[in-house]
Amino acid sequence: MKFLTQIILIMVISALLQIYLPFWSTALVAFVISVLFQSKSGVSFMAGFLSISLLWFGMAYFIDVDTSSILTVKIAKLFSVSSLLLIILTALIGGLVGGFGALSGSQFVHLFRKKERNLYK
Amino acid sequence: MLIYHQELSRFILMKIIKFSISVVITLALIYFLNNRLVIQGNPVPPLGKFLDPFHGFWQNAESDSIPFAPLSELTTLKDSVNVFYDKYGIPHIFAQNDHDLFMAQGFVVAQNRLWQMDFQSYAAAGRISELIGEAALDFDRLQRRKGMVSGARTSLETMLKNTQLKLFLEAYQTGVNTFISSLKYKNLPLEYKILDYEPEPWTPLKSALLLQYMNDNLTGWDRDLQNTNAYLTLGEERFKALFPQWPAGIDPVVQSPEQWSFEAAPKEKPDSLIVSNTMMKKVHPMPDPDNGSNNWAVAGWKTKSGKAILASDMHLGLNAPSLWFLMQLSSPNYNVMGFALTGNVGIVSGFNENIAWSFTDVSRDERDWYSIKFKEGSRSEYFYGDKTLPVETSYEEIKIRDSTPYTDTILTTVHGPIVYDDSFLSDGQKDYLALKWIGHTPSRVQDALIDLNRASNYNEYTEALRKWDAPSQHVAFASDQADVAIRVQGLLPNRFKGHGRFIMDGSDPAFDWGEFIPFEHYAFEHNPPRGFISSANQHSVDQKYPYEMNLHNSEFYRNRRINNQLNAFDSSSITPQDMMKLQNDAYGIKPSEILPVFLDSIDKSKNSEFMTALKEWDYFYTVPSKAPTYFEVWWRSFRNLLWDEFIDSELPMGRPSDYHTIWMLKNDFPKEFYDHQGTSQVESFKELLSMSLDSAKTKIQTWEDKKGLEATWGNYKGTSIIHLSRIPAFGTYNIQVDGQSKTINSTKPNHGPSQRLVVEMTSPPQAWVVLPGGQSGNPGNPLYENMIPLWRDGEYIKLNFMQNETSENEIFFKQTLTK
Repeated sequence: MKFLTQIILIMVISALLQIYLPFWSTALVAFVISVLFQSKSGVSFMAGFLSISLLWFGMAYFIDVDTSSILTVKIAKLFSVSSLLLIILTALIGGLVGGFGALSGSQFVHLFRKKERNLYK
Repeated sequence: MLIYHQELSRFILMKIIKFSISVVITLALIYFLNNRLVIQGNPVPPLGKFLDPFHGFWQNAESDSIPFAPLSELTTLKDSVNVFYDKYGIPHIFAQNDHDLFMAQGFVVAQNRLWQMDFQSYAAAGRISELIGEAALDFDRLQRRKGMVSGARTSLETMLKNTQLKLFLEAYQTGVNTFISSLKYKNLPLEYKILDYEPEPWTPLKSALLLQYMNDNLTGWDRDLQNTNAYLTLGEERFKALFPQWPAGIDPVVQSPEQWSFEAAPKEKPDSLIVSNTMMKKVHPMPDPDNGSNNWAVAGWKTKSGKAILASDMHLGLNAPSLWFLMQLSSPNYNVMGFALTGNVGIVSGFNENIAWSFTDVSRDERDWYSIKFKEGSRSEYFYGDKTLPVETSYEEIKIRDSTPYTDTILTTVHGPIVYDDSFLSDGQKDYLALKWIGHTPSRVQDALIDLNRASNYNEYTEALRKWDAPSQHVAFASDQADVAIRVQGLLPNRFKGHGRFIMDGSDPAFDWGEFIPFEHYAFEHNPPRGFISSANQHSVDQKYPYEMNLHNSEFYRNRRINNQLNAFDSSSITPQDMMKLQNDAYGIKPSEILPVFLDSIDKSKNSEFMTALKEWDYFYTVPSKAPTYFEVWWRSFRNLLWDEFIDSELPMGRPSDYHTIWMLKNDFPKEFYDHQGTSQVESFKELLSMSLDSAKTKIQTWEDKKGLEATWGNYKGTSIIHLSRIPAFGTYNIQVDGQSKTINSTKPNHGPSQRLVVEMTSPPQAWVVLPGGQSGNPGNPLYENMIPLWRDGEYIKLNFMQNETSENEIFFKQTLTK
């Protein structure tokens, strides 16, 4: 549940911020949400990755359908890939930015968290 | 405690390292995704920016064909301007004054075609290396050396002296720049995102550069270097016989009257040799020699409606976005519609309520080359007359993407800039050739165009054309008074016979360009008895015209077909639909004049599908037919064997025209040229025919095997429309369009009619047009290439020439520009 909330929050806030800010704002959003949720590194990365890749996939897919693939096919040809692969590539790039943003956030939290079990060994 | 502290600090250190690595990876990732990369020489757009569906290329995909804001601010307007778009995306601009009209024109053109106009201005100025890197360096150096920029600057100075034109140019500039400043990365035209750069502010100089670009397209071709090589190799007599100025049977634009009403201004021919002893091994790349056009106009008594009809199609490189932008401009002083160049004020070719006008190129020599002799051991002084003169040295810095700038040194003489020297196109030669080009003279064509835009009768058309200097054009005219006219218009130096056909001695002032032929002596026709005027880049005049024209690369086929067809119409019979059909005519006079000779002479035992197809051919270059391919390949193979002395020569020499070759073959052919150089014996005409037939069959078979396609004319010709930045995905290929470069529908691989217009001078005029593309400059817009099928199939759209703002029928979208 927490994982899902994390994903949805990153998606929604990124979508809103992207109206004003460039693509790297998604890394910032993922970072901040990751700090707030204090999840483990792997979980944070997955949350960041999935949220932005889903968001970008959804948006690209919507534009593709809405415009009857008018430009998708041309750019796909430019990259020598299929239209679907172009949308997936888009999602992957977004996912990496979101994922590493979130991972950094989680590492940031770790800086201030004491390592309880080992402390008095 | 010590151990604890050690362990704790190691623990904290680990965390810091982990955090740092993670942050560094994130930042590095963002950095790479935010910047252009060059992978194995191939530029890749910044992937993050580019693929981001909120800002990247996805935002350039448009479901709405006219995706503009209904309300845009243009604070420097004096009043509001309304722009009505029809379903083809053609804007109809209604302004309350001329200042606002041209400001809105700048804004609207930029809104549709910003990248194109900007990119073309870079190309004109020799700045492509700035955008794509070293690969364009030679192109840029040539542009600078030819004097593209200095010529444009001189013209701009002249333009700005006209206070009205200055106002228009500056208003246009503001319009473009207002649009540019409204842009964020998200709505930048697609090509900026791919090539990863940003638009720079528009200037009136860019407008002048675009005119210079067109001027170069139409006057930047000559054969002086090849002629010199041929003349010096063949000798005068042979050269004259193979390259005559006046071949038999020409059909000129203007027929000489019984007696011209003037005598030519005198021009002394010097005693010295007219050919400089300079043989060049390399010739710089030049515009396509087939850049040209058709236009004609039929007088009222020939047409069904009794109104004059004008037709125009301009043959240029087929590019996407379309070269031309269709628009209507309306203010209290103007109501004009037609084809605008993106970046120039007003309409270039089109019509208003009273007149229509259009252009074809005059194929005459508007550039000359002078061989420069420097004083021994110096490159600072050269011989001229009985003295030496200092060269002017200037430095052109060419910025190169991903590299350090290149500085080219340009030496300028009395004749013009030195283009060929030991650092450029020399191939080890130590020859210096200076270019004298009409493009160096200040041009007033923009001024002439603005006047044409609102000319209302024959006299005003003639007056406007007084300012038309270069490129030389046949300017066709039709009016609502049912009359028609054509002028051979443009500056031409008064030449003696043979002047400027060859490289000339730059040290002898007798070869300088002197006075230009006076305007009053230009050839023209106004309501000729045959009831029409026409031009198709053929000889402008016949041999009786009192001046030396130095015509070159003249057309011999399209013109005759047009004239034959127009002559064949009965009086009061021609409709606009007839003219549209004629524009798409694909009949080849060339095969009709030589193929029967070939078929008669060839060995009858060579019967085959090939021969049968040719025997049955009606000489129409239609796409499903194979006969045109057979003929073209056979003819080219034959011609290459026949003129192998020219084609295989180490020195570029050109070759005789097809027209004159055919005339010689049928009349009196210099037999020594039948000899094929690769064989020991001397061939006969029949042997060459048979050799070329075999080679043609092999060529076609190889082509079919390689392509996996049938060699129908449509496939074999392979007409394509190529994106300006050569991105294959943004072009259209293998377009099945009828015709060949020498048919009225003049189409070849990447070249053809860049527009078609038929206008009937009713009140108000009715016009039909088509573009090989569309109105939008955006490859992601439905109107980017929507007209290609119409253009291919000879169909047209009817223009909605709005008479006032309230006639809003057929309006698809309204945009208001407010101050």
